[in-house]
Amino acid sequence: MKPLLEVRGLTKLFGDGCEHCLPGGVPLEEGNRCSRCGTVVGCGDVSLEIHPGEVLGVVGESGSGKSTLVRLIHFEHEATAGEIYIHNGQDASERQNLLRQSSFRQRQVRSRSMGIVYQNPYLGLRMQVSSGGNIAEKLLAAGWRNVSEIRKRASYLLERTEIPVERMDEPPANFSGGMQQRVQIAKALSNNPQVLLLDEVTTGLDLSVQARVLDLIRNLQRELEIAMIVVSHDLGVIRLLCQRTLVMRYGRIVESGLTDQLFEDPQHEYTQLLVSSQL
Amino acid sequence: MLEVKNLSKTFTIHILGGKVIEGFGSISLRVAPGEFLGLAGRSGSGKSSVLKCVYGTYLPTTGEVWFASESHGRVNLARGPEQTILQIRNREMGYVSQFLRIIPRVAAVDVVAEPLLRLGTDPDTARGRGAALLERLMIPAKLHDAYPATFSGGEQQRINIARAVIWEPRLLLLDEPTASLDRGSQEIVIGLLKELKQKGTSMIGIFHDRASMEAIADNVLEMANGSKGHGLS
Repeated sequence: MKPLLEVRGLTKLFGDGCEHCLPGGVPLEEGNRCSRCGTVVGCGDVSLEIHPGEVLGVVGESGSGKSTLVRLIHFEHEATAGEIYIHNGQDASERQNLLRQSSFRQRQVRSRSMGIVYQNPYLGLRMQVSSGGNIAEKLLAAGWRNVSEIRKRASYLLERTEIPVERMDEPPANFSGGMQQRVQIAKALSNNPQVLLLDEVTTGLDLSVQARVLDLIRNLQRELEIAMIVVSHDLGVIRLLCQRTLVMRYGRIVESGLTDQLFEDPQHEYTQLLVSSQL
Repeated sequence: MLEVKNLSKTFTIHILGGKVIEGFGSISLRVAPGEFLGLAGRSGSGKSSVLKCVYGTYLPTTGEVWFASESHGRVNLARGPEQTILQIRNREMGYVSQFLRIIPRVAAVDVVAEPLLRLGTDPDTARGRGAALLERLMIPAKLHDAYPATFSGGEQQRINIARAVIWEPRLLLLDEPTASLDRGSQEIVIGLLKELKQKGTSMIGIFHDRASMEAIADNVLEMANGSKGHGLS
């Protein structure tokens, strides 16, 4: 079976680099910042695969490069090196490294095949535009043109994410944090993406609100069989949602495995520390 | 069905300065289709660790775990790709411990029916079979829609067993599935396991009491402490 998303040697350096740290950034033993030139490894030689319908977790402390990884996959940063392929059966150009394509083509792939939900709803939503309008914007980017169908799709998604449909003309600025997160999820799902990227989506929410958002994600995942990358520093969230997990530190993957194996038989020193730090 | 060769497990604990803890020494075993193999030995002899190595929750230090998979052919689970292990877990191999891993805010009957949904059974049939199984395990109908987080230890354990047997996996690993059950419930569970065995499921089981084990096991593997020897009785 072919993976849906394939990432090879993905690297992002923040800074120009120097003789000491090029091409791949400073060695892991030295951390993530080059002591000579100050270049930081956001993401170093990361490879991963996701199969259709699979949920992959990414854990690590803040600053470990989890969000950078997701944003590179979403074409928000320009990668220093690496390859990304999506095998979705839609394009003839499957064997083309998406990182080497034009930004127009990258936007096209993103609009058709991806959805993202950020920790901070201000990044994913236009707060002053109506919730329906936020969803419409994504649908327009994905090529939808019929206004009444766009409206129908938006109200369906808001209903599924438990936002009262009579509030679809209100801007997210009026909503609570949990509701904003659910509008973001509705927007991210609007184009029927094959890969959904979730970047710390429950961080900072009250426990009961967090529970509702997680239940929503779990149910949607099972129903739509959508592949996901779930980034979280919360091991409980990872354990609940993900079958396989990567552990990141200093921009690098230090360990990967089945989620239960990582939690019960962690091999790397850092993973052992992480697991034993759990409340 | 399952052939384990020279399996061993040690843990290296980096946060204790690289301390090495032995899980168990070299173990070999075979389980035929429809056979029940009991694992016996004192606590600390590594019985649970053997099951976890077979299931993939622990990474074996040495050895091979050959499973005759219906969809993948003969697979060494000790070195198999993660995708393959996940697919085998979803379709062929079950694991049940004495503790229910609570899935928050999911009703008891849905916890039990979930493996069937995964295999494509329609939701009404799956819930119906879940409810029937819970009835048989003497979980009253009024509890079926409640969240197991609030249940007693014995009730949780019965839900756990129901979830493990409902989908009739080809290989089932049992880690003290009856530890906190009263005599009556224990007998019901043993009865369920016997039926499953008759339908062809192979099992490896750990029991806290010898009587339960002898009621169902075809063979028993005695694990010595640190366990070098292994005699089939």
